[in-house]
Amino acid sequence: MSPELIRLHLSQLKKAIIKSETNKYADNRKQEYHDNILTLFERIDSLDFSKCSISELIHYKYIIDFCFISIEFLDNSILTVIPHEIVYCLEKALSDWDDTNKYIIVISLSNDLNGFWFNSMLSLKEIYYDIFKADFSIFFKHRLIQITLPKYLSQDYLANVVLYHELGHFIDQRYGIIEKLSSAISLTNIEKIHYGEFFSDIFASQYIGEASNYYLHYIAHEAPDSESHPSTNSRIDLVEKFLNGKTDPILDHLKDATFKITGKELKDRRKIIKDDDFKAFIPTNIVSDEELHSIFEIGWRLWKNPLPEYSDKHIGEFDKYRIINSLMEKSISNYMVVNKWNKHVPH
Amino acid sequence: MYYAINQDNQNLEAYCSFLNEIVNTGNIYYANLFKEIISQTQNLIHTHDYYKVSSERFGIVKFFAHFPDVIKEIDVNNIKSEDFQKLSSCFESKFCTAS
Amino acid sequence: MYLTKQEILDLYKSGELIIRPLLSEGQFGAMTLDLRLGTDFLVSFQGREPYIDATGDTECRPIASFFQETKRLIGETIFLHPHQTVLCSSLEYFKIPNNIFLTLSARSSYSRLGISITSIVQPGYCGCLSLELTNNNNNALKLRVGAAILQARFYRLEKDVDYFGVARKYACQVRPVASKVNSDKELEILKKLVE
Repeated sequence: MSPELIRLHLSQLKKAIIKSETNKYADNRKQEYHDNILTLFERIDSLDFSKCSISELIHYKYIIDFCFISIEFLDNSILTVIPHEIVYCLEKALSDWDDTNKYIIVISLSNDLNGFWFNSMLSLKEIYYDIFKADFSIFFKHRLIQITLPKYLSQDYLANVVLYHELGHFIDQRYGIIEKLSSAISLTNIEKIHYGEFFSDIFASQYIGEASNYYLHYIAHEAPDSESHPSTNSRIDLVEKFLNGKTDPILDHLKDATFKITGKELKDRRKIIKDDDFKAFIPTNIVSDEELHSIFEIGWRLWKNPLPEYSDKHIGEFDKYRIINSLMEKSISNYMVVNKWNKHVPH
Repeated sequence: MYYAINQDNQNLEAYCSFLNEIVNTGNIYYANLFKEIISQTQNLIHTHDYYKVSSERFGIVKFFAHFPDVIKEIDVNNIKSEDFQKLSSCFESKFCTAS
Repeated sequence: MYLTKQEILDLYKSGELIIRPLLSEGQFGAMTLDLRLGTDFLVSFQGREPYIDATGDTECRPIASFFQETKRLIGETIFLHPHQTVLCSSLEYFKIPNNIFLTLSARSSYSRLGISITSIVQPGYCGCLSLELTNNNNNALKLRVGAAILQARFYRLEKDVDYFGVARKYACQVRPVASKVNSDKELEILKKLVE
């Protein structure tokens, strides 16, 4: 690392920042965050790196990387291919667990077909925000929850149930649930990792019920225990126990730790709605947040089972997939529109 | 500056630099952060209740809790430079042992 | 025969006519139903190809590649440049009874600005209504998503039509879709006439 390389990195960042200057965000919090990144860039750009040690230069490189990733996710968040309806559902789930309004979900698209993941860098690495405040006097009021999903599945509402699992990882790390549980009951490293996956599966199933397991079958097949994940069968089994109100030592630990740490319960939050509307080719009228999340389970149930209402009308598999996704999307977007409208229409 | 950003729970170099930052530059923000961390560590040592530690400080609090004798002696409302020196020596000796 | 307001309302309240979302019952006029501009748009742009091939030639560049998707949230605005046509759809998702069809036109307030839309909606159709919105004004127009820019007239047929009796290209669409004209089987037959 040298001052010249830092200067190169800064020039690269400047180019990305110039391109992002015309971004228009529907959410003011994103604009504030963006403005803070610009201020941070200007402060670093004005520094003299010629007298810095190698460690200091590495430190500044990390900060520049932080800015780059922030700009990447903010840029992506205004793309038309980002599924705003999915983000809305995740924000509703998030609000059950965090009412600080501090966290903003931003999505980036990946070329990896299995690329569903959550990264905690911009949301939970407080060390960065400590440094921005202490060393640059820049106070970031908000944090970005980075979620990545595959580009070719960005409007696939069946596949995107996985994002509830990724949100589960955020909630776990936000409260340090598994970290603290691990210290309290002395889990091994692998057990700790496995518990993290179990927690995220249970978290997701609170909202999307068995849809969590349907996609797990697809994405993880019948994988055995590994260093990064418990076996698929054990994950499915635990979710089934949770949804059926059965006990299990792992489930008990997770529920106990979650409640003691967050004050909130891991519980079935669904309100099951009928699938009659989808069978009749119309989006369903959602009236509550609990019903909102149930849309995913309906979509999956219809996809997995024969649908004579569709096959009798010469609707093949591809159109069945397209129609189910469209109806899921329209049901959610109608709920968003009606809620916004009702907030402002005079009564 | 509180560098070595890419720290994990056991990054001794980062914790040493954190203490040095407060002593050498008198950075008020880091000093207040230190008070908060010591307070939580004292509570953890006393209660063994990991669930009560704030999640964003869990790593550093859990690490500081490895030095209960030094931590217990610190008066959070009247932190002295010897406190930093004692803690720093503990970290460095652990750092030397580790390496 | 045109349906009156009461007849349209009766169909809606009985559940035979589905309109979702219906943000205001004020959208029912004396013999029309006002409909709102939806959130998704397809805007055509000039690329390297000099023309759009609508002759059924499967070797040519797909029609969808001549259009760019853009999206707005409800309440946001979009510009329509002079003489520009964009594909968009209604905010409302419809399911129309098998013996009713609709004609669509711009509401008078918007047609006076140079907006033209003409379309019909087949009996039994399900989906958001697909619109080809043209700005015939010499000035650009700034429109608000969700505004009631068009109106529908309802006509009753004597007999039901089975919408799903044949395979449907555009059923249950929730956003505008580029023309699929090149999948028309008849174009293949016509092509063979000159081979």
